[in-house]
Amino acid sequence: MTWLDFKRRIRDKSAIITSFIAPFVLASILGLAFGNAQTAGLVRVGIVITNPNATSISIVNSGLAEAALPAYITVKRFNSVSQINSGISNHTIDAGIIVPGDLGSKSSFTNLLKNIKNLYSTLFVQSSKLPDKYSIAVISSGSSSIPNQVAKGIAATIDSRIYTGLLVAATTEATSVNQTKSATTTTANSSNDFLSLSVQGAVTPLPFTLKSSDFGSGKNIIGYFAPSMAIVFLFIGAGMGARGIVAERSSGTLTRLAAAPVKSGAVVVGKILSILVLSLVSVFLLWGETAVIFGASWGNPLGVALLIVATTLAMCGLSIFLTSLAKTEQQAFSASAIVGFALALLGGNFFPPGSLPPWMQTISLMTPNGWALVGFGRLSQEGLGLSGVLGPIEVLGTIALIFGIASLLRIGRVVEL
Amino acid sequence: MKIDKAVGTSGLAVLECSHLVKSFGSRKAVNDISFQIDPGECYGMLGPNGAGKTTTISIACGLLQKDSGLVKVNGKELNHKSILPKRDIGYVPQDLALYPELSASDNLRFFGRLYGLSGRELEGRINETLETVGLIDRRDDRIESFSGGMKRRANIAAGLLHKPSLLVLDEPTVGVDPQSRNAILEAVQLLSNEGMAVLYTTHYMEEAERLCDRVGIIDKGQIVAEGTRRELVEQLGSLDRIRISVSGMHREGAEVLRKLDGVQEVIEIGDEIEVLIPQARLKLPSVIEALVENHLPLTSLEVVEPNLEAVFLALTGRELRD
Repeated sequence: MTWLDFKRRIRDKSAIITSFIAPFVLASILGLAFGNAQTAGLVRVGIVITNPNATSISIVNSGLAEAALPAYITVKRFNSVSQINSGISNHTIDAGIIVPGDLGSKSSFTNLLKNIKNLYSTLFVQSSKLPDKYSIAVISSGSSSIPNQVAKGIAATIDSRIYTGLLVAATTEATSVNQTKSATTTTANSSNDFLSLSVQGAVTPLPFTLKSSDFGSGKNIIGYFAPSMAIVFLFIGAGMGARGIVAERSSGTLTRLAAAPVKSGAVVVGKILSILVLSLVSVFLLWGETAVIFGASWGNPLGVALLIVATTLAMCGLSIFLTSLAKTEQQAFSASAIVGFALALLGGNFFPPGSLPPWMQTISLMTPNGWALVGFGRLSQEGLGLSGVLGPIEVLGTIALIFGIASLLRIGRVVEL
Repeated sequence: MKIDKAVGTSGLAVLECSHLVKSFGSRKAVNDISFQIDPGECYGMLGPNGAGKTTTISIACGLLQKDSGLVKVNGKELNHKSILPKRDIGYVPQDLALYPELSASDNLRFFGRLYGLSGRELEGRINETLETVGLIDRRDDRIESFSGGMKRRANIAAGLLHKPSLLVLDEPTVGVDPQSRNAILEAVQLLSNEGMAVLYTTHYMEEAERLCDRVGIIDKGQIVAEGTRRELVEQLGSLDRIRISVSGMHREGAEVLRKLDGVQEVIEIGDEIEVLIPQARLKLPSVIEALVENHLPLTSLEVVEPNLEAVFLALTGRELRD
């Protein structure tokens, strides 16, 4: 019964789209959107240094290097502010950064030095005086847009390089002053030395490297979004399967099945199993596809396999149960679509890992989607093994058990004439 | 007109229903219904919509649990626990119970496997059955591309696939074009003549008259009369009519026919003579002989028998299509 029904279901175009094509396409789109693979130029930022000199160029370069921009952000250099403005107007760039021309000049650093010195002393004499911020301008067509935020981030990195240099210089000078406190004079060229120290400090690579986890790389964000989309379509796909049973009741094929020499229990179990088999095949296939095509890693294979089974059982159980409550096929369709998307939104399926605000994280754990995502996140993003997902598997298993039994009873009533 | 055939009288009925009762809430849909069908017999269940036909056959096919009563198929009791007797039943529901996205042959393959058919036997049966219903040329076409009549025939094919000894058809010609309807009736007639027992429900009186050896008239959950069409008509007390045309000599013809044995009444209607006589078909030779002997030029002759519609009306006080 299961095999016959499974073979029949995979001939249904809508089942193929829902179970195989849609999760793959959506996972790929979201993965590419939030990751960095093969998306160069998604955010285009222009940068100009007014009256550039060697110092300012090297500081900006070291700032950009430290920013370690992903491939979907490209930075293009311009020669004037007007070029930046027209680039934004013409939509050839999405945002611009204007670095002041006197960066690296003696006067600029001297002024900054005063502030740094003040900052340095306030740290110890509890003064509330804060230094003036060195101003790098950021322009874009919309202040809340993603390009604007990206440009601000780049500007902040450059800014932090300058301050790093200044702090290096200030610390060095302060140490030097303390050591020569008995002397009555300082060296005549202390300003020049300070400038030199500042520049050196600003362009010297930091003594640590930023270790980025696989999150943020296109490959592994797909490793997160693929199961995430699979969860959404598991619910919809299972709902479609259950809806098919309701439709079979009105079309009369259930009557014909009931007339056949098979037990009604076998019909119920067969129908539900065919939904489960199709769902499992779709998720395992998605796992294989994303691994082969995108090189995505879903994490520890045993953990992934068990979590897939637990998630499939839970999502199918819940979906079949809800759909079986419907009296008509139309009601079943509405129930499956509305509840499916509500669970996906509340569960966080459409958001990158860790991006939900705390209150939403709490809500997401009230849904099977949320627990499944916790599990898949631990495997693909945190690199945890099977032991790391036993909790989510336990919760999903409980959901599967409760709604699985309820589904069997409900579908039993649908099949019964 | 029904072709005469030898109906099995072996004593072992293919289907035996005794005192079936089924209620939905306070409404008794089936109220103490009993009937049996012998091998090769076509039993018609005639009644208006809502009379209890579908409920009765649902119980007879094991689709619906009865409140009380007994159903036996080839001597084996059928209830919700026993599924074996279902192998002997071919059920053709009123709805088009097929998967539209599958081809005719795939549908039959699906349902055939449920009856334990497989391999060459299954493929052979698929071709044979599609041949019977006239769909062999469309075996690989999807059901959704079929016309209404073709769907109905494919629906019947799915019930015939496993060569059941009892074929149950629930109003199989509803909404079907005349051509397909005729094809369906011919197929059922053929199967019945080949020895298959048929339970046929309909509210089309002419179908019951054409196909069925015996008819059970069902109304309000009860069989109000049962028998061959003749038996039912005789219960009603109506007489057959022979309509005769004798070119320009109807008055003389009427005089001759009035003297014939068994004639109850002779009416002259225009140029025609109408003779009221029991069992008209048996009396036809003597009627023709009398006219020929008296040199009356017989130009046309028609036997008009009282129909089931009249019987139904008399028994229930309602039209069949009420």
